[in-house]
Amino acid sequence: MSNVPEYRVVGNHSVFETAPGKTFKKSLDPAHEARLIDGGAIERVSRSSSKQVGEESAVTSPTGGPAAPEKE
Amino acid sequence: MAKDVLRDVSVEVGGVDLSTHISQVTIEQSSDEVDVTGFQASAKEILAGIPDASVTLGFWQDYSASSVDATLSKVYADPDTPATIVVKSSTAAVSSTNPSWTMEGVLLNYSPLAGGVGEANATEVTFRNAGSSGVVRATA
Repeated sequence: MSNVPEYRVVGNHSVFETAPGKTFKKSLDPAHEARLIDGGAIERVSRSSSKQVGEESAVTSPTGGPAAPEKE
Repeated sequence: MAKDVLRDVSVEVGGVDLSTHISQVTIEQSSDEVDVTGFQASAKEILAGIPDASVTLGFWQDYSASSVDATLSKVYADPDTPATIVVKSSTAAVSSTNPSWTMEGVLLNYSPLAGGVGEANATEVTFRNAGSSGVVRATA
């Protein structure tokens, strides 16, 4: 299964050539993802295949697997 | 190549397509002029120095979620994370007759509100190049 997160375009503007209301899958760096979510452009539909919405951010490692949790 | 009238320009800022709120776009590329003229030269000898780039966009301001201010204010507030600016002269697919220009840019100035009574709420921003590649032209 893919670990690439899925997002829904929730604003009135297309995001990454995806129309409002539609979804797309893309690996975004955390800062870029936060900017788009905070700006009301997208919302996250799914996290990595093994995680549920509400868990910690699904950062992926360069190899595509889940990254080690950050230390508090 | 046919002559062109700008009607269908496509502009993405950090992935968000803000084309419908943009009325003006200018992509600028330049290089420093380095004078390496030596003694006994009969003319100046100029070399191209380090290239620079910027993209200037004129916006109709919109404070709705996901729109102009929501996008630009986030880019301005986070200069450590450049936004990818993608410009095409048409919304059609990128091709040899519809190239795209891509630049990693930061906003060093942003006026969220500027204007006088009775005027349209508009703002102009200039994204300064923040990547090592400057403006990249693509045809595929």
